[in-house]
Order: sequence, then C-alpha cells, then structure tokens
Amino acid sequence: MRSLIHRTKGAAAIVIACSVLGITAKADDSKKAEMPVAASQCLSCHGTNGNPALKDVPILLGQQPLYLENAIRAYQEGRRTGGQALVMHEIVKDLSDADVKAIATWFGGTQ
Amino acid sequence: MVTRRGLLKGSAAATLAAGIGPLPWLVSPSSAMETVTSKSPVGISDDLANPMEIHSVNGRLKADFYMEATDYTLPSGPTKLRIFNASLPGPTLRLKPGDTLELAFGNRMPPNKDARKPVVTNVPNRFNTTNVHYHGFHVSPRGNSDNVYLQIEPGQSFNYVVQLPVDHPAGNYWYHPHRHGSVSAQIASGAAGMAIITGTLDDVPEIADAIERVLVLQAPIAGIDGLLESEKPIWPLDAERDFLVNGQYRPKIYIREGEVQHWRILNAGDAQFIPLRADGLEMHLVGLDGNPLPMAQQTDEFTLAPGNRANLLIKAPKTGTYALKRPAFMQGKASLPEEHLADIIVVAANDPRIAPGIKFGKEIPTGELPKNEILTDISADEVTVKRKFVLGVKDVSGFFDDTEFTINGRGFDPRRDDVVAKLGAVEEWTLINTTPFPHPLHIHVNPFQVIDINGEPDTRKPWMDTIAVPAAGTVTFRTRFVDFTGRYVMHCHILPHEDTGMMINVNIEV
Repeated sequence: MRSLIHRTKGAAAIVIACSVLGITAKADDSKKAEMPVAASQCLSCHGTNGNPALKDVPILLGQQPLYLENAIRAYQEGRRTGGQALVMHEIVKDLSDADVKAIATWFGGTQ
Repeated sequence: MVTRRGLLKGSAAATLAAGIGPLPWLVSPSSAMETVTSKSPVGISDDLANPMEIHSVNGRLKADFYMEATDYTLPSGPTKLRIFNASLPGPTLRLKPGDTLELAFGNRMPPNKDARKPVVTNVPNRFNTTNVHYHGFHVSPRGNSDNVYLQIEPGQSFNYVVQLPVDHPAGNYWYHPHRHGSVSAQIASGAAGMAIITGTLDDVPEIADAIERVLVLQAPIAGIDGLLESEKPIWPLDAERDFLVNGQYRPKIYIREGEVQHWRILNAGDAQFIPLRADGLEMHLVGLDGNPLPMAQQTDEFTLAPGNRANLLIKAPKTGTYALKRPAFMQGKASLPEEHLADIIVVAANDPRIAPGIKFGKEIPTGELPKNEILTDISADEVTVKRKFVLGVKDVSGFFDDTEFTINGRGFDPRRDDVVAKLGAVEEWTLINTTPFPHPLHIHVNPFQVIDINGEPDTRKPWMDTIAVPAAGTVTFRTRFVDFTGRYVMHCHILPHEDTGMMINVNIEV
C-alpha cells in the first residue's frame, strides 16, 4: 500500500481531496467548482475537509477569496517574513497570477 | 508472519528482563580499556540494569567491535537483530576529552541478498553493508575517523581511530551505523549504543551525588522470518512498535523516597518521536544532546526526536508505583498511541535491598549550570554566511514507495558538494520544512546553537546536534566550522527519510 503517512503530496492527495469534497470531473453538483491543479499542494497541510490536522495551520476553506489572494501575494513577495512565512514563500513562490486567483477563488468559494 | 503482539508481552516482561538480556561479550586481552558489567545501580535484582560499559584507560579506549545477526527475543517473539557486539543496546563507551577511541570493527553479517543488483542511490539497499558513525562527536570526518562514506561489506574489517580534542564538549553522545541505504534497517534492528564524554555536568555537586542511569530507548523491528530484509515494516510512521528500555520491555526502575537520580536518555529509534512523562514525579532537565542548559528546568513533559539525548534529574517525592510514559501525540499528521515504557517504583528511603553505601542524591541544582567552555554564544555579528535549506518530498517512479525526500529540491547525491564552506566560517542556517511532518535534522562534526523555532527565539539558546524542524515550520541555528576540514553530511534522523534522500554533503575546506 502506498503510504500517506510520510507524504501526502501528489496524485494520491488529490484523489482524497476530491473524494472528501465530493468533487469529480463528472460531478453533478454544479455549485462546486473543480479543484485547480495548483491547489493540490496546499492540501497536505491545510487539509482536505477544511480542518487541518496540524494545529498551527489555518483553515482555508470558506475564507474570503480577496484575503487569500492578498495573503498569497504577500508571501510570494516576501512582505510576510520570518518563521512559518518562510514555508509559505517556498510553497507559493512559483505560482502564476492565474494560479493565485484560482486557488483563492476555489478555497474561498468551496464550503 | 511474526505476531506483533505475542505471548511474551505483559506478564512475561519480568522474565524477559531477567532471562533474555544481552549475551556475554568477550574482550580482547590486548584491549586498552576497562569494562563495567551490565548491572542495576541500586543493586536490586529486578531493577533496570545500565548497559555494560567500556571505559578508556590512560587516554585510550581500544576494543573489538562487531555487527552481527544476533538471536534475540523481542516481546513479539524470537528473531534475529543486526546489533553491535551481540548486545541490545550496544555497550556504553565512556571517554574523556583528549582520548583516542580505537575500534577494531568487524562486519560479521551474512552476504547481501541483493549483492548482484546495482545500487540505486536513495533506494534502500544492501542491509548487511555498514559502517560506524560517532553521533555528536567533534572529530575529523576523514579517513578512519567519523567517515560515513565508508562501506564495510560483510566479512570485512576496519580499524577506526577517533581522536577527541582536549577541549571536546562533555556530554551524551552515541554511535550507530551510517551507510546510506541501510541505515534505517540497521538502526530499526537496534544497532546503537550510548557514548559518554565525561565532565562539565558531572562536576555539579548535586549531580555528582546522584545515582546515574543510562536509558537507551529503542523499538526494534523483526523481519518476517528472522532478519529484517525489507524496508516496508519500517516505512509507516505509525507502525505498531514495542518500545524497549535498555533492551527490556516495560522494566522496573527503582528510586528511593526523596531521591534524585541522574538519567542520561537517548532516543535511538529510527522514526518515532518520544515525548516523555512521569506523572507524580518531578522532572528537571539539565542538558539537551549532552550540553548543559543554562539552569535546571522543571517540566512535566519533554520530547526526544530520534537522535536526541537529554540529561534528566528525576525526583521521587513519595513512595508508590508510577509510570514512565510516552503520551499519545501527533507526529505531524500521524497519530501515535500512548506507550508505557517502564514502571518507576519509589521505595522507602531506607529500603533494606539497597546497600547503605550507595549514592543517595537529594538535591536539584538551583544556580547556573556550567558550560562546555568552547561552546560560547554565537552573536549575529559573528555570522559570516547565511543559508537556507528547504525540506521536501517528491514523486520518483520506481523508488521505494515512489518517494524521494529532498533538501533544496534534490535527493542525496554522494558525488555532489551541496555546501562548500571555509574552515573558521560562522554560518546561520534556516531550515524550512514544506511537509506536514516534522524532520529532525542532524549535522555531523560541528554542533549548532538553536536561535529560533518557527520564528520564536529559544531563550535558552541550547547547543544541539539534532533539532526537530516542525511540520510546516522552520528552525534557525548558528554554527562554527572549526578544527576539521573534510566532507560530512546533514540529514533527517527519521532514517527512512535519510535512506530515501533527505541528506546533503557539507565540504569544509582550508
């Protein structure tokens, strides 16, 4: 069995996310958008069901999209610095503008 | 298949402790050393024994060492373990600063079953090829010293000569195999022992008055049918484990009412963290990774990541039976269960089973603790270079579990110098963990001073050699590259992560 204990990145995490959130490419529920590919890297820490397993990681699902977009850009540009902001900088530094908007919209709009 | 929860657990624990201890170990008549047999420090028959010790004599510790597939009975049943000198844990080495450690080491293990297959770096392989690392020692990484690039094949021998500087920091260190590809299998098998360099804390009167115990915590894994031949049982972080203390399952530890004992504790496991509690007793930390804290620090719980050591003063206020426990906790996203490690039995101060002449410490030091003299604070002004290291993981088809762990986006490559630094440089390194699991990073040869964790300053500024980088978190430390040139490594001490890539080479040049 492929272990999700040491790692939750990649295809397996996406499958879990889609399963938990009820998202599939053929989903009948048109209110729920398909998860953008770039969001998959967020799930291992921020959780697939809006409830992160790590206690010091914020809940993203349902957050204001504009707030999320501004936060991601602040991490990208190094305006949030030190400590765990360094982790976020590494995660989001290569995202395109379109990726940032898609992630912010998806997390913000999914609840 | 081996039954993980076998008949021998529980009621037979005392039998295990008494009847299946380390096998006799023969000493070469030419060895320059003294041995102290494995025994209880209070002299009670069913008390936890300290591992046997080998002491240096007149500046030398010269001994025969070997790794061998050894019959051993774990709580889950009989198996074979890859261990040092037929002993679980290995003998404790006790040295002084300035000593020379000479180990005539033999690899007595059988041939590798995968010897004909090509080695793929960062895929576990050749579990019977080995070497010896002196964890935390500030010594040369070259030649026949603390050289982890050596590959000692089954049937081969190698003479280690490790020269300790005269100003080597005193403290708790340890030894274990470090051949990339087989580290996790061998340490998960139990190949490890404590190494104590005496001085500093030992000279604090309250600590000198106390009985000393060595507690080596391990959770050995048996193979399916004897010797472990697969990485699979080691890989899941939440695999069910039986934790042993000095090779024993749930031993008894005796303390007298009002007594303070000095415990040197080592997490010699391969993957799981060990938070420790002893509810009802007082715990006072006085050292981390062997180095003294500024003052004794009373605590209800502290955590040893794999590779960490602690000096603990434990005080017993009242008679009764208490438990040394690892409470249930989250290791990143992995939920790990409570483990009952030992029973602590507090007996009357005048218990007739304990001879009157045996040490009876009663005090906790209240003032500043002494420092290892060469480990002076590193100020921001002293730093000459800053670097960052990003800890991650990626998919690699065909690797074990299709996984490669990375530092700065790349898996380990023994041919590549990831860090090139000048002797005498003083550097500040920030470790950035992009995974949802903590990674205890260990750097060889030079210890470091912890500055902050997740951006929060550690006011104790402890000197350590292994530090857990929190899940989705950061650690910043400062270090001086002094005394020794050569190549060595920094790596994750969750050893399946090391074997699958989370390691870099550091090359210190003149």
